[in-house]
Amino acid sequence: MIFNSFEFLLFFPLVALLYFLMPHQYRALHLLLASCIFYMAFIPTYILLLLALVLLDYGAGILIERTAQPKKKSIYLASISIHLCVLFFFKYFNFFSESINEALSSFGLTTSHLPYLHLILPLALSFHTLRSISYLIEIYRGKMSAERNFIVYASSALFFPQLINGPIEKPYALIPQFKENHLFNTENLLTGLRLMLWGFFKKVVIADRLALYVNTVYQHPHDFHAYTLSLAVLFFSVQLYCDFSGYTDIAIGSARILGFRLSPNFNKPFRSKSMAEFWRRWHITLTVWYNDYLFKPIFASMSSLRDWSVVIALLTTFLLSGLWHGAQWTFLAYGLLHGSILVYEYLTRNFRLKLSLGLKSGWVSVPSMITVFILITFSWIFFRAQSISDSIYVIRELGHFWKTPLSFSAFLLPSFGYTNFILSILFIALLIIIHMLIKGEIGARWDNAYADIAFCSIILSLILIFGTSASSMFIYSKL
Amino acid sequence: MKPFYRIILSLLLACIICQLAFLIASREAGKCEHEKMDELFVRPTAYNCLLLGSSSIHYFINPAIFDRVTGLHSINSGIDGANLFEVNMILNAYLLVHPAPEYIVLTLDLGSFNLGQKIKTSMPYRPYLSNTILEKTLEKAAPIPWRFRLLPFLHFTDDEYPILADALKGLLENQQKLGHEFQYKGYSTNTLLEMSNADTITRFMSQPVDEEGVQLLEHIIDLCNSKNIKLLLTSAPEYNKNYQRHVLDSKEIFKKITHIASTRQLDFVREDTLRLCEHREFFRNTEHLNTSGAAYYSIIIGNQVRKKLNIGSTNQDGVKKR
Repeated sequence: MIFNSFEFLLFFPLVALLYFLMPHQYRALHLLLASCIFYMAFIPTYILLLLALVLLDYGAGILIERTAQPKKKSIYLASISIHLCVLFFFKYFNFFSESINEALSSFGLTTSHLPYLHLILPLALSFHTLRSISYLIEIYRGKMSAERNFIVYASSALFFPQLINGPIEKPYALIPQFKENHLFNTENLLTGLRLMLWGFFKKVVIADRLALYVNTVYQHPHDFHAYTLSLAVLFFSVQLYCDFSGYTDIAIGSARILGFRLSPNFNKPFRSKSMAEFWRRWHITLTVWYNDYLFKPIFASMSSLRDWSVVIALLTTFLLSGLWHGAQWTFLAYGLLHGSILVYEYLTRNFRLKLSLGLKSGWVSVPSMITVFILITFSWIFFRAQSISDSIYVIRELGHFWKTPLSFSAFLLPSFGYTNFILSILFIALLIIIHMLIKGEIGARWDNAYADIAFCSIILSLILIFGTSASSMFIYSKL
Repeated sequence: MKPFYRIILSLLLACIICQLAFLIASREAGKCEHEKMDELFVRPTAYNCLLLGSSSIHYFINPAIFDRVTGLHSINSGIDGANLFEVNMILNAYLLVHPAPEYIVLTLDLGSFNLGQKIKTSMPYRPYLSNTILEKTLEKAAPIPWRFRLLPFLHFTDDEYPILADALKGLLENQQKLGHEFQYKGYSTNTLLEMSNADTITRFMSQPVDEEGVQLLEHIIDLCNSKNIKLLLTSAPEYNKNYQRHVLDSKEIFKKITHIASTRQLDFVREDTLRLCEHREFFRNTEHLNTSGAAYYSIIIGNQVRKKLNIGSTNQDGVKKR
């Protein structure tokens, strides 16, 4: 089930209503069943895989806590390995298999080929793996106790608002919330609804509309020239932000209605003045995960190498991050690019600081923000393109504006149309204006009731009038 | 103000805004098809040629060119997405108001016999329910869903009825500012934009042949015979047969039409074999001509109609000799 579907609009109010009517001791079970139903709307049998993994984590968590070293470490490593093996099998086997086969063919070794498995990647597996590993690590480190109540643990692991696309909550922050007695709270309802509205606006009004343009261009990039390609590249940046942050807002909003607090995942990322800052504002919970479980351990294990330890840790973290995003060379390139930029920022930090000291903050902030935006947008060419060759073609063509005379129609696509083009520009402008006007969080309390009513009613109207009704998957759900 | 009241007031205000927007959009969208629908179902203008079909007529045959070639006075009654059920309804509703034309050109496409959804959208016909044919047909085939009766602005979420796009056209006063689009006697231009590789169809699909669709075609033929209307059947031009290669039932459909035409001694012209169909610059996408393609095709079909339906000869400019 996806958030932007008629089924979810029926499902969620029913789940919420039953949740608050139910006695507290049954609520975790209710949420677990609801989450299973939510997940089974995709491929029903895959819920068995998720439940098996949840059972594994539950059992492994208790064993890790009870057992002493060295058996403790063995159980810990074995359970993490199982998760990684399952993820590798469903997500990466074919990628490595094809890559090795191509390499063998290029060396003239055509006799033996690794098989190609015709499997569909279970939805949410990538995110679930990270959550599970986080749980096992925190227990191993002694930061939290293993959850003894299987229903509580399972319902937190499969909690439907954040099941598919995050946010990736720390288990010690999320699990205790399932034991609290959440009373119906109109403030939570209002905040949650406001967040969900905003999320739906970003998704169905902006992201899905831009997707019509972006998908057409990226499917056959060789058919298009610099203007169309540049607009598609730009549109994709906005589409990705609206799609993913829209999902997150819906997830946080729906959890809030039920009384749960999830971590924010975005904090106006396009205001970043450096790549390091960008990763503190974009997909925040993933950055925290990588920082706590990859970067810091790698850095700590090589701290004697000083700067080199940071370089190695950054490159390794972002290469793995790229690979986590997708089993394709383009995602590896994406990760490597980000890692390289962060390494550059780290190695030149003193120099850049000296350079900026004599300048007014405005002279530094605006060019920095523009530079970061350009770098991010550039890196997302690899994120979106279907192959490295397509990415290179797009990048090369972006430098060839002189080939086509500039005109309004140079940006248009027959399938996209004038109406969509004008509406896209207007809504992007509206998004920027709202971000500039609303200083705090959309989900924070609005003291001015009339402003709140005006905002919500206008956003709801825009969703109904301009929402593209095709129920399209969220981008990160496909990774 | 209590949160509950904020929610209720927000919902009410949103409903008011949406309903107002819907009223404006409906009025503006109506301007697009208003002239055409008035001409088809209200004004009893005597046309001697009726062009009947779906978007394969709507965007394909420009009466300004067609009439010059044939010497006829035609009207383009093509409605996007119309299958044989809807075409039959349009024909009968037209004949209720107009004298019978001498000639009908009926273009059949691969979706004509698929009656899964009898009427693509009933919205354009709603203002014309004084036409009893339209009223009775829509009541049975396309009653308004309860959610649209309760909250009419939910039509904005109706994929089948591009009310927003049409409203924008209406607001800009009949399309002159929107990329060369204009309307003439029911025909609409489809812009000068050319198709790209991205428009090529790659997915396979099915367009089943409903027996009721076959019966409706026979009924249309009987109706034409009873009113001494000369009927020409054509298939729609498409780029490089791309669409029909991806429709699993295409051979069956063409076989069916050919069989009916042969049995009923009618001409059936396969326009998908024209040389025009090899040139992508004439197509907006694989199934639809653009403005240039429509201009060229209007001449072609005009000449075909003159020849097949034995219309009087014309001078070099395509004007009928008096």
